Amino acid sequence: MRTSAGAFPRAMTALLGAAGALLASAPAVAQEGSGTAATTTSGEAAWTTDAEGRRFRVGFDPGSRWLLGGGYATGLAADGGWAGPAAGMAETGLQYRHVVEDLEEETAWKLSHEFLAVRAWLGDLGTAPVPRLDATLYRSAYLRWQRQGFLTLPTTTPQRVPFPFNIGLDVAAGRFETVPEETGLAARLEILHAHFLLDAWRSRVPGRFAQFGLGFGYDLWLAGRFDADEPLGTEHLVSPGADFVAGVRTETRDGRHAVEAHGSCGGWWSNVRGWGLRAQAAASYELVWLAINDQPLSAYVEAAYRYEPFLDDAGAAHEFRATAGLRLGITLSE
Amino acid sequence: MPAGTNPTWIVMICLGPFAGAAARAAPPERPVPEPAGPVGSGQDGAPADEGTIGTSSDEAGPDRVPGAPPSDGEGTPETGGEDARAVRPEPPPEEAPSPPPRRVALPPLGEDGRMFEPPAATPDERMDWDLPVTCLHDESGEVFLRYQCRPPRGRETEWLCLYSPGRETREDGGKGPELERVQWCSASFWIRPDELVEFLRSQLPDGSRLVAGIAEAPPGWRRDERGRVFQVNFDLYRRVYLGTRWYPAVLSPAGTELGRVGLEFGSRIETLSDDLRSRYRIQVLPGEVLLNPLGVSGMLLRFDSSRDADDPFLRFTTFWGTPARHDLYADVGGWFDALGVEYRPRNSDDEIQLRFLAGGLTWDLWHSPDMYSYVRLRLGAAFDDLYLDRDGVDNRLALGPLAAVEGDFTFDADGFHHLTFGSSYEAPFVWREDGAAAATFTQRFANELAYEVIFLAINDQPLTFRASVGGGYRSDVAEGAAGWELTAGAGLRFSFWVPARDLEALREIRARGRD
Repeated sequence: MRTSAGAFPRAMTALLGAAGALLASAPAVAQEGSGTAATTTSGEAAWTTDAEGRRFRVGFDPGSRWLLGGGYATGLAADGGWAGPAAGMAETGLQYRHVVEDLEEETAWKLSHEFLAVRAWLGDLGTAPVPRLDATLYRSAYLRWQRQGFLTLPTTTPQRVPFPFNIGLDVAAGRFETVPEETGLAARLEILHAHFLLDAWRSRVPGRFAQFGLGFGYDLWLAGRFDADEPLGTEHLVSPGADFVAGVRTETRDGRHAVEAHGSCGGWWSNVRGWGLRAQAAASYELVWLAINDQPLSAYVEAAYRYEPFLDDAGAAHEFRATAGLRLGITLSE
Repeated sequence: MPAGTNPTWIVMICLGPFAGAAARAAPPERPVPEPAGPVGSGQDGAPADEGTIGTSSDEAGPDRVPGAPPSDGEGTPETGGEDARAVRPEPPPEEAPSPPPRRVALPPLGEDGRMFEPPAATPDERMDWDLPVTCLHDESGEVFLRYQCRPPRGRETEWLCLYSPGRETREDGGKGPELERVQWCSASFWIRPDELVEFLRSQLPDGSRLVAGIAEAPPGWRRDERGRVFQVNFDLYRRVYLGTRWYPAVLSPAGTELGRVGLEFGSRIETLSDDLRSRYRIQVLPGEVLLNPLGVSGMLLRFDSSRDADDPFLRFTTFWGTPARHDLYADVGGWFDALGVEYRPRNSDDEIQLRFLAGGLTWDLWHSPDMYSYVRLRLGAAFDDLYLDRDGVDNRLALGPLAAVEGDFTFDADGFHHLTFGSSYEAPFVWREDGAAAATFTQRFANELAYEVIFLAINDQPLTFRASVGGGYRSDVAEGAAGWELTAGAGLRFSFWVPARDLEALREIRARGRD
């Protein structure tokens, strides 16, 4: 099967539509302004008791877990065809999120952290220009919820203007990717990415947002091959505040369904190649369908796309991968 | 009984210092339950009807006792302990009406009038280990008669009391040594033997019948008509054993070895946890020395366990439809082997296999309630050194997974018949310590089916016959020794210090069931 980059937006739209339909049948959405108590992902509300008196967990926090996962992945080959067969993929990561509330000011920080997120493709992806190892040291998002958003205009008499967004910040540091030699690169290093965010959903519930923003980034590419005699070449890429990001995510109250889509697009400057446009997008749906010893086992599907015009091989500029797999979460919330 | 003491006194000692010396009884392994009915329902196991003597609350007993001691307390035997109680019966007041005589059927007395006539036939009744026993001591303190009574059973209409002498009987009918492994005397009386009949008429339950019986024996033991006790139940999983066997083998490519002989040894302990849900098996120095050709195998310590889980191993919650919980029980235990050695495996010339450590999990697919018998999977890994002593030392380290299916069956409650089987597979990766060659994948495959039966006991130490067939394959040894093997074995094992099986624990487990 052959596809092209132009087919991607249609596929992404279809995926999001399907995910939305699934969520529509999920339990009632939490009361947005009532805080974390509206969810049943932790505390006593996350547990139930059956007719035999056996207690078991029915609510899970998908943002607070140590996940161990495995699945299959495939990617778009450099020549445009599908790389195959699909390769096994293993992943792990430590996710933790919490809310820091200030009751007097009626504000709350929704803090999400992810440490040592690692994905490794174990099989043969052929010439697909997708990462064989993708490890991120730290990734986070800090969203500030406020019951009534406003802007203060510093006029002679300061004025308060309603503002329909919450604000926030995301940070990613220390991402390391190895890619096949067809790309001409040994590895990509994302040293630091950070974006200022505006959240239009303004939900107090963790895991729900509709955000966008602008930010900067600094990447370091290692050209050549690790096992070659010649030293690796380096290439610096910088986005000086021109990287636009957008994302939307929602979860059911019990945390058993989660849908997310996000993407970025921006102008980057390379010390070797000059200016260019880089973009990426991903969408995923995750479903907890089983719990083993009260630890959730979820299934997920994910599609991701990345446009990387700086590569030597123009055929490798479109990077597409599809992944399906299972995740066992060791719950970190009570 | 102290010299000069009035011999007509009747004194009951309740497990006091005299009891052990007089009864020469082994300590009971568990508390003696109180029987239903009058026997022992009063104090200390003595008949508790109106004729009972020696209980502080007993008011009717003394008037039935011939030669009751004077009331001034002189000559009371020293009991010598705080627990001992001596109650001196009061003489009956003259004006008290005589109670009606008891109906007690006694056997005829012997010629000397001091003891019953020996029974004409072998007694077919046996005293019960769990019922209290009353001991009668003569002037010298020796137990000359022991008896216990039990209420009617089934269609019986009268109490049955059994008695036995306090000593074994010699082949010529003479007195033998004191009875071994009898229950503690729950009550002891010092009486003159010529007062035996009158005493028993005052003590035995009304309407009872006293007949000769065979003294009690502990669980797992049996006593013959002469009072000799011997073990009839053996726990072969708690023993030290030595054995020898003929152990021929067909080796590929080495050929047939019909003259191979093995000397076996080992020790084994098994114990149940306090909650009776885990069985721990420990083997110390199990091994064998093979002769013709020479070979040695052994292990310093081997441990494994079985678990009868009361909590589910896995709890599944399904989220399609209404969330529901599904429990999966898995009886998982652990095992390890430490410091094993195999000298000249497969008759290789210069090799020694050292097993530093192996360990993993056991998963009982089935086990009997007390976990004596089981079928299980054993999974784990082992770290070895294939030590090659040729032109200097050459260490070849080996690390790999192993898996085994094993079974152990004890077919009878007395532990006479045992069947074991095992099929194990190991896949060690072997690499030379000096790194001269790449790691190689090797295989070990071993199987054995064995049957062991007790056919004789010498001094209560069982002698067993063991037959086995086996076979396997291994590729980790030298080229000339690697290959297939078929074996057969037949031999004897002599086991020491083998206790009787703990059938009481089995009863408790069966009564409890799985929670």
